[in-house]
Amino acid sequence: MRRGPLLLLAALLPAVAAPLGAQDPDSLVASGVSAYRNLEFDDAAGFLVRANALLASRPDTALRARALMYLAAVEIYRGHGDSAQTVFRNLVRLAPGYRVDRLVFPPEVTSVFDAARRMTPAVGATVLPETRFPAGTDGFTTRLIGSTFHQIRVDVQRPDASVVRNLYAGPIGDSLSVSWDGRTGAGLPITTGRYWLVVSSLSPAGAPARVLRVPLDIVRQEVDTLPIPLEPRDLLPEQRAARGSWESLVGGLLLGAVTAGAPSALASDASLSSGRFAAGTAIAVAGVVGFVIGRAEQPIPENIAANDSTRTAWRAGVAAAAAENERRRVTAEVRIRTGPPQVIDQEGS
Amino acid sequence: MKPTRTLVLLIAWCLPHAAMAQSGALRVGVANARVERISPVDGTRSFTGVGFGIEGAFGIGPATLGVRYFESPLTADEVTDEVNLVEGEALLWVTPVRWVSVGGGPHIRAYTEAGGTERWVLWELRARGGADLLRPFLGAYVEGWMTVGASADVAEPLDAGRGLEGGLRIAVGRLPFSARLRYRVERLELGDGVRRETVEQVGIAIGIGWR
Repeated sequence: MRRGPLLLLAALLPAVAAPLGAQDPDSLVASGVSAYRNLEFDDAAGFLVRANALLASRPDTALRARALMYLAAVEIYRGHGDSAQTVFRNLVRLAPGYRVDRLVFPPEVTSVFDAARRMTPAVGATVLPETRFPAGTDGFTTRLIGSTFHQIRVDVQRPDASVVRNLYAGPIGDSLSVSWDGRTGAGLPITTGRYWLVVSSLSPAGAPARVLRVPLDIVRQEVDTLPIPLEPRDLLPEQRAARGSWESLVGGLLLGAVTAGAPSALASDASLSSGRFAAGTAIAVAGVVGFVIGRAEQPIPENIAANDSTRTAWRAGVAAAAAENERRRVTAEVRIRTGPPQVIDQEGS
Repeated sequence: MKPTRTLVLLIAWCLPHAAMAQSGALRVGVANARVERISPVDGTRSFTGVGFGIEGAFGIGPATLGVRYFESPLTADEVTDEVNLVEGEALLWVTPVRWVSVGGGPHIRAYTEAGGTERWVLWELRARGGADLLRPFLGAYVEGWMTVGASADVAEPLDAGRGLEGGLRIAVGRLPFSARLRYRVERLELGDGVRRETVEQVGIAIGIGWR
């Protein structure tokens, strides 16, 4: 089944070899198309094969796709159906979104193209050369164009092929948009470096049949962070010193003595009750108690409350700064520059 | 004026003032009262009894109004005479510094016995000094006063009047409850010293305070 293209190439190779370097692929394609329209199919095949060989190394896929389209049509009319289908499959791999102009080509050509397209799962990707977006927003968008309905998987990978983030896994029809927020699968912001956007077209068995790789040069902007507030140092003393205890002792003894003794001087000729001694003793004992307990440091509730308030405000400040820094870090701007796509086709192209 | 009517009037007067006060206290308590009278005619006579009292203090800024009512049935120690003692005070205090207060006001006392009622109206100037023994739980104070004017339905004119009170304040943590233990003695001399009257009270009161 593969003898058709080989025969075609074998027949055309001598004619192609000599003038390859001297001819312009644009004029070769134009000549091929003109010969096709004049029904000079052998001549058209010669022009288009040579043009295709010259265009293989050029990034311009539009002209090569046009050359392949006309070459496949020529092969159909030359009776080389297998060769035509091979050319069409190459065309689909080259430009998965390519659709044949049904006003230009008759049904016997378009039907072969459609059959080849259905048999060739492939995906093309359209990405901007450079994208800037804050991490966390779906700022990087890839438009995928499928040749036919099939299963695909879209990943961001490191150079060692480890998956950073799976962006999509499922079917694709004509087209599909896939977005990325610049974060890893764990939700962390991507780090600066070289990555790949990998679009794998899967066979019905689930194995990658064709892999499209787009290089991504990713730079994550460094962000200015807020300083974390220092722990407050101007806190109020939370323990009262023992110096007040002498006031308790002296005050208690003095007031107790006055309470017990002064009434005798006030009413020297009266027979006073012993209540004055009881009250005076109670005051003096209370002074001694205050002295003993007061020698131990006493907590100062109002200062403790004020310090708690200060510490709470400090902790809130630390938490707010940390949250703001995390927000800035997570949403730092990400710049992605894309390179030319590369295709790894398991069937060869 | 009858004691019960005095009490009602005192409470009625206190309530609106308490409502307006920035800080205040209301306490009720019991006290052991003792009155000793020395006169050339009757010699020395003493009366004792346990009575009931109510007191309040209402402060606005540095000024405090202190009121007190006390009533106690007294029994003579040697004979069977019975006397009902009723006291009331309304004193205005100013506290220029934390541990010193000065004040003054009327102090009314009445003895009601079978033969009639003997009423005293004493105008007093007072000073009080205090100390915190264990803030905010314990505090002590001593209060002294002198009588600067008096009117009484007794025969002898008042020569001098002095008094002293010592007390211990007890607070229950930061709760609004407090207690007060006090001893007070008042000495009145009349008729060039021929009649001397000493009034003692030892009591305890408990109540609430607010700020």
